[in-house]
Amino acid sequence: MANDRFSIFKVISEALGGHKGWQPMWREPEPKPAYDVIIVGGGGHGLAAAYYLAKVYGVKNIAVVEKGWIGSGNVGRNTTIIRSNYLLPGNVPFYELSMKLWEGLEQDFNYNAMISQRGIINLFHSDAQRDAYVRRGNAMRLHGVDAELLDAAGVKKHLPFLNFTNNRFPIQGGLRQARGGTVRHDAVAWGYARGADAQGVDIIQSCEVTGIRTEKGRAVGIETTRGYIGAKKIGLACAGNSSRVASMAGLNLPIESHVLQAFVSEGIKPFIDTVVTFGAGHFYISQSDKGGLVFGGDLDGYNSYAQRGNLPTIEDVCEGGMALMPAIGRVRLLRHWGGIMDMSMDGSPIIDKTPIDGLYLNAGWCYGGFKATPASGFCFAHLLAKDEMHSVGTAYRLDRFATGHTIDEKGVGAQPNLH
Amino acid sequence: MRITCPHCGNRSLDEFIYLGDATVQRPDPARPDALAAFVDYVYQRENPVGRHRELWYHNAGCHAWLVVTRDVRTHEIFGVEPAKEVSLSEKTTGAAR
Amino acid sequence: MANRTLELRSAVPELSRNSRIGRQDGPARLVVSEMTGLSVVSIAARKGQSGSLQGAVKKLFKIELPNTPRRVEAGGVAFLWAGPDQWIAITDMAVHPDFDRELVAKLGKFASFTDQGDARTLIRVSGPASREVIATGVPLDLHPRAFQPDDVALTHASHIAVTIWQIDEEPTFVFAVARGFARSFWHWLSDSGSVHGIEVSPGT
Repeated sequence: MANDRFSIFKVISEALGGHKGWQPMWREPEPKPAYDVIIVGGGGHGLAAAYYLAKVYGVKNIAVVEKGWIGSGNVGRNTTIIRSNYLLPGNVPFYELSMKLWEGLEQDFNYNAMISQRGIINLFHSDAQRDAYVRRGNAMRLHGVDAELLDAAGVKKHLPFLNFTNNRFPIQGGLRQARGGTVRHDAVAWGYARGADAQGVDIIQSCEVTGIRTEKGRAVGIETTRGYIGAKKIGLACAGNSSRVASMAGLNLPIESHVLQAFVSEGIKPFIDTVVTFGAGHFYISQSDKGGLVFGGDLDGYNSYAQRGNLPTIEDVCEGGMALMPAIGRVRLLRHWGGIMDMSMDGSPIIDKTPIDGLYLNAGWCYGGFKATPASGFCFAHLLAKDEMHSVGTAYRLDRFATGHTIDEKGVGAQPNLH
Repeated sequence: MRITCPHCGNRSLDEFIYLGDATVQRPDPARPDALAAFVDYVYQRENPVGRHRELWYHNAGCHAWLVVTRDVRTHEIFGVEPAKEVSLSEKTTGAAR
Repeated sequence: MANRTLELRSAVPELSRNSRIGRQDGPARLVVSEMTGLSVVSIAARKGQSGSLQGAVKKLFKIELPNTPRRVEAGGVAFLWAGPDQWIAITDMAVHPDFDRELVAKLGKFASFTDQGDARTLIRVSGPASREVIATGVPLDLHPRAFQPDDVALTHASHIAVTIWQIDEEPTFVFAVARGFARSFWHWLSDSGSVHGIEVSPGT
């Protein structure tokens, strides 16, 4: 294996030796003719699935194929927030498993992912919204998840600089999950890639899937830009490109691809030590360890495969930010970018078999995929290894749209750009 | 991205509201396979990479529904037609699916 | 029952009196006044009757109803395009006190007419800074190359739906704003214009 174990002794000895002994984090193998399992998509979810598949479920002959490079997709484009403050029964246990995996992740894969449980506060502005958050908090606590209802004074203790008396959205309080927080997103990709590689997984970058070969209704391999690769099982974890890759196998998905923008300001001194969401104003924000304010808002709202957004949404997000915290008015915007979200029709993900034998799907993460990375990988690995869903993810069926068992956290119906 | 409304002219994106895929058609509820057809109509999308026919509403303008043909990778717009005309011509030519 | 008289009240009290807002030195570079005493009627052609309506209007008012975002005026009545097969007619309330009923009587076969006199606030904006100020909230190119007298646009100003048209090359623009949003509109306009100095004169 290419990598060594990280430890304080290793760091000290490398420091003394001029850092000449560090090895690449993972190998760059040529694809083998065939694997037991191929995972299409080397993002967070695909890499996590390969990692747990090898480490927990004992499958050894695995490849992850990635059309770009590790970290080039949504795992490196999100705003790094983790939380498990969900309401619906199909969601809460799943996201709580994810939170628990986050809590042990750095020790588990021996990599510093800068996991910071700095807490997350969802603001409310009316009695009705407070009631909705009380209900959510109760649902969380019933599932053993931490939740705390703050009144305006409670919010003020954490975030004294918010505009509490905004005429349209006066802040009445917030729902806080203290265990929520942020994670260095690239390090998640790198940590899982390194960990999977150490388990013998082949990570094949610059390898775009161009076709899925089926024989007698069974998927048997993938055509790629680096040749044909056979597989007993194929798992798709292609995020915004899920529809495109699934269509290679003749599948139509309940998914639209939309662009979501994210923003980072110039670095400033420590200012916000938690994550705040201002849902009513389409704005949420945290501060990175480098000092940049990391923030975002709503989808641009139209189908898009372009990893960049348009100006009206930038204006909308900045207006939301100014309404919530006028103090940031003079901070300069450093960068903004877009990622392609696989927006499902009910706003919840799909981890399931497909109608094609040997082809498995992990998709529909909307803009909530990053926090789900560990549990998504774990459950997808479980599904690929055992051909049945892990107990926490049984609601994420592909056929739930036909059977009426949709999981609509936001309650907006089959309108992906509103989730 | 700007959209040239056939009534108002070239306008900023923030005047418009997006609905979605314009190629889906409400099935006949009397069809024997109506249930499956409705599941497709409500939930399943082609979600193509490239040209996409989609419905936009000129909300802060003339309030017309428009059928826009756009490349979803580049936002290049190939055509904008009033949805009313598209619908009427589909009715007369029977072009509806 | 006792007779009651309805009192005409502006939706934007700040526009009912002379004032100078913002920058005080030099001449005001933005001049704002509310246009009052007007009858405003919206017109929507009945299905398939747009052609007949346009013919009847031509006979009655000697003008062509515009099919593009334009304003036409004849005999003290202005017609503004307001969307496909829709228009707004504006005239002097003193001359046409029941303009909607007048139009229904003459043209009711071809279209629906709704009095908008109490639903829209009309605000006139002129002065050398007008284009610059309007550009802070309106996503349209108002350069003379792109927008000229008698051009009309349905758009928004600082997120508020408006109809805007130009009446002369000074330039003078008129905004029609829903009455309930008129004060928010004024909030934006006065905020954006104050650096130039705003002269407000009461309604005319």
